[in-house]
Amino acid sequence: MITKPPHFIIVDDDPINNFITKRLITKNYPNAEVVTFTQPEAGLQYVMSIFEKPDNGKAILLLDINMPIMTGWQFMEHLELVGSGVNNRLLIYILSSSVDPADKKRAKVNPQINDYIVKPLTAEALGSFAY
Amino acid sequence: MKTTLNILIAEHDKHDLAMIDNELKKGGIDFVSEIVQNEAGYRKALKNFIPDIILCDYRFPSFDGPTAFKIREQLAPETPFIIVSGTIGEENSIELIKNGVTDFVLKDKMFALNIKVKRALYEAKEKKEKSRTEIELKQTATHLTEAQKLAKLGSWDYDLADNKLTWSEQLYSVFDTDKQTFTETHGSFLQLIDEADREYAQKTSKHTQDTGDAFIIEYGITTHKGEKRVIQEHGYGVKDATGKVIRLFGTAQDITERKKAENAVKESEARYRAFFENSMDGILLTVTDGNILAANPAACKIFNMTEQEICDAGRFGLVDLTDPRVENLIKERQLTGKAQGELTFLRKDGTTFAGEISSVLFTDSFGQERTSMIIRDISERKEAEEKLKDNYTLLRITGEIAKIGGWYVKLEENRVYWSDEVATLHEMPPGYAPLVEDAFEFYVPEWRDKIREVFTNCAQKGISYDEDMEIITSSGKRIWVRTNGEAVRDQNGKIVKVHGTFQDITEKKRLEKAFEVERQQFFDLISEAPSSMGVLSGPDHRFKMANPLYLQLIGKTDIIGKLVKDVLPEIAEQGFIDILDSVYQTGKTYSANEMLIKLDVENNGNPVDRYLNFIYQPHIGTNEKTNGILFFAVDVSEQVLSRKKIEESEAKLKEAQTIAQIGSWELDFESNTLTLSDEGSRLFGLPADQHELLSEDWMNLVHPDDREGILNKIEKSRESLSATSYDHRIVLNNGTIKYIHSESKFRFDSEGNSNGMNGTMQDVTVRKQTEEKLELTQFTFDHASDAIFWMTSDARIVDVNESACHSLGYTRQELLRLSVPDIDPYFNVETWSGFFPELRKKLTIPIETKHLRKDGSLIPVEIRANYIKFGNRELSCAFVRDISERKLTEAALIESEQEVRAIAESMPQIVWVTTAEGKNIYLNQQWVDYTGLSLVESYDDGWLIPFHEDDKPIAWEAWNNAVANQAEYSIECRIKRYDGTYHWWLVRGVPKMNEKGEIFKWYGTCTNIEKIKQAENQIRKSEVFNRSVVNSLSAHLAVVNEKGDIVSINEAWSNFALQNGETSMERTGVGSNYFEVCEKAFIDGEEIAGRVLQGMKNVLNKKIEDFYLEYPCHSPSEQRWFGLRIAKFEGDEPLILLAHTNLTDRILAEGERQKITDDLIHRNRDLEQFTYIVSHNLRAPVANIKGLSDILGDESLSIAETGSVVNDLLSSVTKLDSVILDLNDILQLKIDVNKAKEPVVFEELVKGVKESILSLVLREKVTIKTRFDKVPEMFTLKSYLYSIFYNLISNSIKYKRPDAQLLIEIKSSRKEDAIELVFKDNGKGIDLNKSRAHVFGLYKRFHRDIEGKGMGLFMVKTQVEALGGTISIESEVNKGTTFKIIFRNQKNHDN
Repeated sequence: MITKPPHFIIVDDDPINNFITKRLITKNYPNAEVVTFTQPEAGLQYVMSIFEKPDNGKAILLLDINMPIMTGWQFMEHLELVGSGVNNRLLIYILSSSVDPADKKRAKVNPQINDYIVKPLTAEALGSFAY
Repeated sequence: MKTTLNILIAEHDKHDLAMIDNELKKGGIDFVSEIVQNEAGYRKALKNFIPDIILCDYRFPSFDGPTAFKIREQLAPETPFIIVSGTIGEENSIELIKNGVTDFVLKDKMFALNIKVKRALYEAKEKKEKSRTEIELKQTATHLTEAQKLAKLGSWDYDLADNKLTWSEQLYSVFDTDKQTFTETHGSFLQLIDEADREYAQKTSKHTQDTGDAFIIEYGITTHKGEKRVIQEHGYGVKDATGKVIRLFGTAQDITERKKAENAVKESEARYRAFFENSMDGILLTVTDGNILAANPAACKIFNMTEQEICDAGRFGLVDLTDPRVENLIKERQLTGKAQGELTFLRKDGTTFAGEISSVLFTDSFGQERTSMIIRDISERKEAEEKLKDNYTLLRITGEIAKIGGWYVKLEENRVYWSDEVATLHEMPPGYAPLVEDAFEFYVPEWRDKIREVFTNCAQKGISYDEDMEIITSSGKRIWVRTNGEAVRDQNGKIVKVHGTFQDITEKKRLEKAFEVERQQFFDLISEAPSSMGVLSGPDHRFKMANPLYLQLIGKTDIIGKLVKDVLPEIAEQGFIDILDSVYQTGKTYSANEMLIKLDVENNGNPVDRYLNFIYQPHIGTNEKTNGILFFAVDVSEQVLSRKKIEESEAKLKEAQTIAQIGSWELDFESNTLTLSDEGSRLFGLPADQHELLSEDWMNLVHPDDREGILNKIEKSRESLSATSYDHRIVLNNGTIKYIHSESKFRFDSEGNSNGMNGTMQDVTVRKQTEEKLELTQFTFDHASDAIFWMTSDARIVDVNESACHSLGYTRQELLRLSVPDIDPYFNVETWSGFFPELRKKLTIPIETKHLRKDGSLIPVEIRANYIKFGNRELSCAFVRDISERKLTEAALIESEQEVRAIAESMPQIVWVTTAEGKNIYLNQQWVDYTGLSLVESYDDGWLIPFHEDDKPIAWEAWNNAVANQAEYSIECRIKRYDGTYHWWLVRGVPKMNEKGEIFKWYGTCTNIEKIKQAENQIRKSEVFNRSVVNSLSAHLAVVNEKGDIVSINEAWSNFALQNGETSMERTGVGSNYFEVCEKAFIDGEEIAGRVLQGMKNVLNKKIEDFYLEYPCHSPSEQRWFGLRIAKFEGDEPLILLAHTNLTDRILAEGERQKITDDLIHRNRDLEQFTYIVSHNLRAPVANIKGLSDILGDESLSIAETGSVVNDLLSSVTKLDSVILDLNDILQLKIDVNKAKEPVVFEELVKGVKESILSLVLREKVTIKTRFDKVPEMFTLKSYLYSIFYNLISNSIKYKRPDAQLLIEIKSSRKEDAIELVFKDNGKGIDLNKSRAHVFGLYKRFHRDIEGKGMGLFMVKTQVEALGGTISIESEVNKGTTFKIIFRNQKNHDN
């Protein structure tokens, strides 16, 4: 049950995807707070700031892999430095159009990543989020 | 030598300090002082200042004398300690002296300080000297003991049977003779003895010859130089079984020196006795309780008593006890140990006389306290003194008459009237006439009562006075005056006036005092000084004073008033008068140490040596001119002589050690050091200047087998506290082995603990070796299998060995009584007398004869008689061998030969016999049958006839070899049959030796081996065939036996070895050991060799069936691989076959295949990756299109929103299109690769690229530097290379730094068959740490701010790889990027 308005963070260099995803979320959760970033660095900064704030439930991070400058994996490396505390505050989902089995495997073995979702995000997938 | 004294003064009173300082300076003592006032300072000064003497106040506020003394006892017990005190109780002082305080000085008798300081220092020095000498003596004692032990060694051996006396080397020097002059008989020995002692010596010797009793005698001898020697001889007799003395053994020792020393002691005793008997002074020896033990004649005369009467009277019976000085003297002696003074003595008849006594406490040689008292009758001197006093009175009166100043007192006026002189003395104006009472005030307070008293007595009673007193002048000066007064009476006898003289006697007083002090000092000096002292006066040195010690020293009495040159005429020629003259004339002190002076002490014209430390000090008179000489002398003869004796004995020891090759050593446990004498270090082979060795090093020198033995001996010696001796070997650094005889004993300290060892050692190598040789010879002699006889020239048998006894059946004793004819019937006395001269001439004569045994049987013998001369004895030494056995054997041999012949005839082989030289002497019938030759033809050299011509030289060579080596003879050769055909025969011969080991005959056989030969040929043929097959194989083959020896190899094996640098197959040829080869290679680090070795062994041991290994074996020029198979060789022997096969071609082919496979996998992976990326990039817009389409279906969408979504949709479609176009481009690339290649000029490519983007180049002000001079072009696909150049150049421009002008550098170069292109710019660069993996990836971008698809570098890489090249990147953010492209396998087209 949702007790608080869900909090979504979308990091993808494709603004169109972000638009589509945000729209899908707000349609399903009208009171959801959705933040989108096309620059992963900015997204990372935002995510990091969450850990500074008092515990206010878990946020959902939707992260793309193929991005210039900083890939989704590089993004994850920064989060791994934070350690186990990440899982207390974040539910991380990879949202990528890559069908490379290597990427899927990599996501699966990373304990911080909840699941790997192939674009586009569907309402069904959204409903399965474990927040 | 240090002359400045360090004096530590513990004193708090400044006034007293000044007094001490003044007194010391006055005494002419050269010193520095440190003054302390408390305990801390005192302790510190003892430690740091190191005083030579301590002066200490008895008691002062911060510290006190007894405490200071206790501290000194702990910290500096040797330092003299004098208490300087104003107040010291009698009891205290006695206590202190008892405890060991050196001396004490009362402050009111400060003048004694100098004397006491000097005396204390002298005593301290003497004490130190004495203890040093004692230590030295003690040390040397050890050496002396050894030296004496050695010096004693002169031994002799007197054989009574032949009156032969044998002397050891040393005896010749003891008796001052030599081997040439001295005939070694008892008679000539007796002649050496002084006539006076000869008879006695002879008698003693005779007695021992009769009884064998040991004896010790001493007798005198006279050397060639007329020097007398005393010899001490020890001897004893040796008896034979019958109890008859047959020889005398003994030692003789030169004990002259010892005798001399003994005599010297006796003499000195006698001298002392003489002194005692003849002294003019009375001498009493007393014990401390007052009993008198002895009195000398002078004492008897003085007291007019016999010695017994004196002894009975006791000390207190000789002294007038009413004399108050007695008590003082006794006290003084108790305090100081000596006393000196004048006393009144009692004669036997009760009359008294004035005597001077000096009494000294001493401890006699038995440790008992004794007092010696020297008493001199000085009544005459006293009388003289009295006379002097009278004279003085006379003088005084004369002085009175002179009346220096005068005064008078009119009693009625009670005023003094002074003469001018008196006024001047008072420093008052002339004419001053004070009241008597005022005049008294001029006197110093302590004198005022006295002057009042004497003046009053004079004025009232008329008693005259004459006083020396002190006054204080008006200016405050204190002066001594002599004042006398006399009453003047009027006619009525009433005293009306007192008058007198007044005289300044300050100077006189001062002189008097100085004189008093001087006199006191002199007195102390002369009498108390333990050295000889005296005073000479005048330029001709007349004795003015001399103390008893001096008189004793020079052995004279009654010298006062005599001239030195008269008293001691002997010293003039020794230059001492000259020294005295010089001291007198120059006024300079002369001192000398340990100077030798010859003094005629005995007054017999034979001066004796005395060593003196002495000082001649000029005595300065009142006129400041020398008027005499003070002399001080200390007799140090004893020290010097004992030191000289030590030196001498040390030298003697050294010499003795060198001569006897005896070294001595001393092991100190504390330092663990072995100190060696010269000879000791020579024995140990140490450098001449090394005399010390750590005990471990010592033990290391000892032969390892002998160490334990030595340590055991030493341990036993330690337990039993006795000396021990041991023989051992030492091994010198150069490996020489020496035999050493050592003796040692433990050394103990004063508490009885062993603190070291003393020992001697002697090189007994020669003796040991001789002993060994002798033992060996003796052993040989005793155990020789030959009988040995020693015979004299007159045929007497003098010695035989065991064998001789055994062979003849006699005992040794029996044989020694026989002569040659008794055992050899063929020798009689005549033949012997002819035989011996011949033997002398020929030295050796062999004889074969027969000997007669005790049981009467005769045995055949072979004799080798030798001539030997020992000294003047001629002997024949005969080695005799019983040859009965041999004779029998010879007979048996002849018999057996006949048997052999019979057998030979029946044998199927040819049998032959030749002489040692090869002359045939026998052939059997088979020879005749085969060759068809007659025996006569075949004898001698005839046997060689049927041999094949080609084989004859071989047969001869083999024959000669066999003869030379005395070895078996065996050849295979062809021998002609009677029918002219040749057949193969095996000819064998064995030499037959005679008993001398020489070849005597050859016996041989010839065996027909024709059949065998044929079979062999067959085999050989098949072997040749096999061999060629094996050699034709390319595999390298070797057969190795179980020991690892290579027994066979094929050509491929040896060719390979030769190719690999082996020149003569020394490592891997037949006969070399392959195990060793592998082992060595393994040790050198070739792991494979180890595996091969193990493989060979495993196969040999049947652990494994076979072994296979592939391994690289690269030569410098090429890469090679080999396969080694090891398999068990089929056959009887345990052999293995090693087969090396060259696998290089296969391995290289495999490598090639692997490379192609890797390449394919790599490409496949790239393609897969490409697929995923393409699919991702296709799917991304498709997903968007899908999502957007869904949104468009949402009815709630506003028009504006719809427009926006549609725009996004369009954009996504465009992107999808673009991806498909890219894909086309990429796919096109892969197709184009197959297009025709052409030479492409790099410069033209750059030009083309520049032109196509000219506006951009111009706008951005790009500079492109090219350097293609090394490689201007390459043969390739132009369109690709253009694309590569275009992409890299446009990338550089696209990612230039805005703040810097872009510079692109492109150059080409060649490395072997590769062409390298380098593109370098100074643009933004890429952070490779983050992105290296993705740089060349499709759709990878690294700069967000600049437009790009992420295609450029992907395309470049794809194209480079399509052209068969590789690309790499180096980049640094904000510095620039460098791409390096390498195309391999590019032939140089210029060539």
